[in-house]
Amino acid sequence: MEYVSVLKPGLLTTIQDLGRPMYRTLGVSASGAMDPLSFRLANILVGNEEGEAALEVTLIGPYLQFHNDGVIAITGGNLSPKLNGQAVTMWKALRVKQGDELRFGNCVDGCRAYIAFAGGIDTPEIMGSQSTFIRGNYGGKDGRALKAGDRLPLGISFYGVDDLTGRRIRPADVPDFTTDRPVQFIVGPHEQEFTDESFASFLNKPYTVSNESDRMGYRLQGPILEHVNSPDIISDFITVGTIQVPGSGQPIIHMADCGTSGGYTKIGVITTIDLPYVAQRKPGDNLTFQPVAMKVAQLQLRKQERFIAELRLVNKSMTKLRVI
Amino acid sequence: MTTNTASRTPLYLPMGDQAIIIQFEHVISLETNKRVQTIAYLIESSQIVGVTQLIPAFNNLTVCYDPVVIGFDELVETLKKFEGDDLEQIQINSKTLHIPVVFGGDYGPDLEEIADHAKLSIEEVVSLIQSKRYFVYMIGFIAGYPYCGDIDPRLSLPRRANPRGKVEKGTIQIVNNLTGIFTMTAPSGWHIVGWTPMEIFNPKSDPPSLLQAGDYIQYIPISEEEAQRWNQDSQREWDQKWNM
Repeated sequence: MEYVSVLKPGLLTTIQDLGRPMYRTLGVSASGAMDPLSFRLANILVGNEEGEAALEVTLIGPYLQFHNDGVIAITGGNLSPKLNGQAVTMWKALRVKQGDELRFGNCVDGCRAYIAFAGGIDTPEIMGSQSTFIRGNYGGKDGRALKAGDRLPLGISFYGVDDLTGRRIRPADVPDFTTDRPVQFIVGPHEQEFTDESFASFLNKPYTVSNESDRMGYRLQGPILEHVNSPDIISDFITVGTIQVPGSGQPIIHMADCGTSGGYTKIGVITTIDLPYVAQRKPGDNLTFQPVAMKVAQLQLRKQERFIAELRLVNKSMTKLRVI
Repeated sequence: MTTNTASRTPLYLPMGDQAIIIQFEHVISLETNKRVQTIAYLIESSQIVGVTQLIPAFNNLTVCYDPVVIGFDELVETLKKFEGDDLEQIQINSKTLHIPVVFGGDYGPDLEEIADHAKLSIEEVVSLIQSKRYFVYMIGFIAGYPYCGDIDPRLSLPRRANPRGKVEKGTIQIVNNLTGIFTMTAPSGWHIVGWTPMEIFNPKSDPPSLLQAGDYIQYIPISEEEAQRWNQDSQREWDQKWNM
C-alpha cells in the first residue's frame, strides 16, 4: 500500500514514533508515543522496527481508507476499530485491501490506540524523529494533527502480506487497561519537601485526571499536598512521568510533550513500565499511586524488555522475505 | 540567592527508574554550574556503558541510563569516582555568540519599570544589559531556551505578578539574575527588554540550537530599522563580523 487517505481525522490523530529524547539536552521536548509499549508492539506485529512512525489515535478515532493491499495492526486502548463495518481484533496483524475503510467507534477502554502499517509512515524526520510536536509546529504531517483529505505516504515492508497476516500478541501478554490497580512510582527526588500527612494522603487517596490534561501533562485533582518550605526549586530537568507539585498542591504528571525543565518540587516519577497505564487514562478517570523500590522497578523493566526482545527475534527469524 | 555552605559533596538522587540526579548545593552561581558542567564533561569522556545522556541544569546534572544495562546502585558507585576530581581546574572550550538586539520602545515594554526600580535612566539600563557577556547555565523549557546570567544586581526583579499569555519568538527578557532569548512564541512571566531578529533555535537545522550549556552570549544593540529589514544576508554579514 502506497498511501492511506484520511476521510475523518478523529479528535487528535498524530504521527508519532519514539520521539527525540537525545535532543532534550538542547531543551527540545522528547514527544513520541504516549504509550510506548502499545506503540512498539503494534510495529513489531507488522514486521517493522519498533520505532517506525505510526498513528496515535485519541478517544475518538479517525476514518481511514487504504489505497493498496497491506498489513496493519491496532493496539493500545480499545476504541472499537471496524474494517468495512466489521469489528476487528486488536493486537493482531490484519490484512487490508485496496478500498478498505477503517473506522473507530466508542471508547471501550483506555483512550489512545495505535495503528501501525507494515512499512511505516514515510514523512520527513525533524531532529531525528517523525513525531508530531504541535506546539512547536514541527514533525509528523506539517507539524499538526491529521485532517480530512490528508494522504499519508507509506514505506515499503520487507515482508510479504501472507507472512505477517494473523500474527498476534498472546492474550496473556496484552496490557489490561481496564485495571484500577495503583500505578507505581519511584519516590523522589523532593519527597522531603512534603509534610508527612501530605505524603501519606498522596499514597492512600485517589486523584482524578482533570479536563486540563493532554499530551503535555495531566493535571490531577485530589487531596492538596502541602510543602514543608516552598513549592519552588531552582529550575532543573523534568522527564516523562515526573509528578510535579506546584504551590496549588495539586500534582501534575508530565507526559510525552512536556518541556525539559521546571521549577517545582517533584514528589516522584512514574515507573517506565507503568507509564502506559497513565497514558491510557482520560479526563474523569481516577489514579492512585504506590511507591515501588528501585530494584523492583528495574527488574520489571528488564523483564518487559526481554519479552519485547523475544518478539523482535521472531521478526528477524522470518525467512520468507518478499522479493523486491 | 543565599549561599549554601554545606558539604560540597554532591547527592545522588533517583529521578524515576532511568535517571539519576547529581545534586550540588542549592544556589545559582557560576562556580556551582561550572562544577556541574565539568562533571558532565568527565562522565562523558569516560563513556560509562549504559549511560545514554547527560543533561546539565543550574546546580545539578541528570544522568540518563538504560537500566537493562546498569542498575541504580552500580551506577551511583561508578559516578562517585568523579567526586574527587578538582572540578574547578578543568577548562572546557566554549564560544561566545553575539546577538543583535533592538532595545526599548515597542520591543522592550518593561524597560521603563526596570529603570524606575533601579533608579536609573532607560539608557543606563540598556547600557548595563549590553555591557557584559552572559554565561549559558542551561538550555531548557521547550525549544532551546538559554538560561543565562548574571545580570547586574541593580536590574534584578522577580517574576511579573501577571505573566503575559503570548510573548514573541526573539524576545529578550530578564528575571532575578537571569536573562534569556525566547525561541518560540509562548507565555512568559519575565520582563521584556528587547528583541532579536536572529534565530538561535531552528528545529530544521542540525544542531537545532546555536547555543549549549557552558557557552556565553553578548547582546549587541542594533537599530529598529536594521531589525525590521533583517534577512539571511544581514545574518551572514553579522556572523562574519561577530561570530566567526
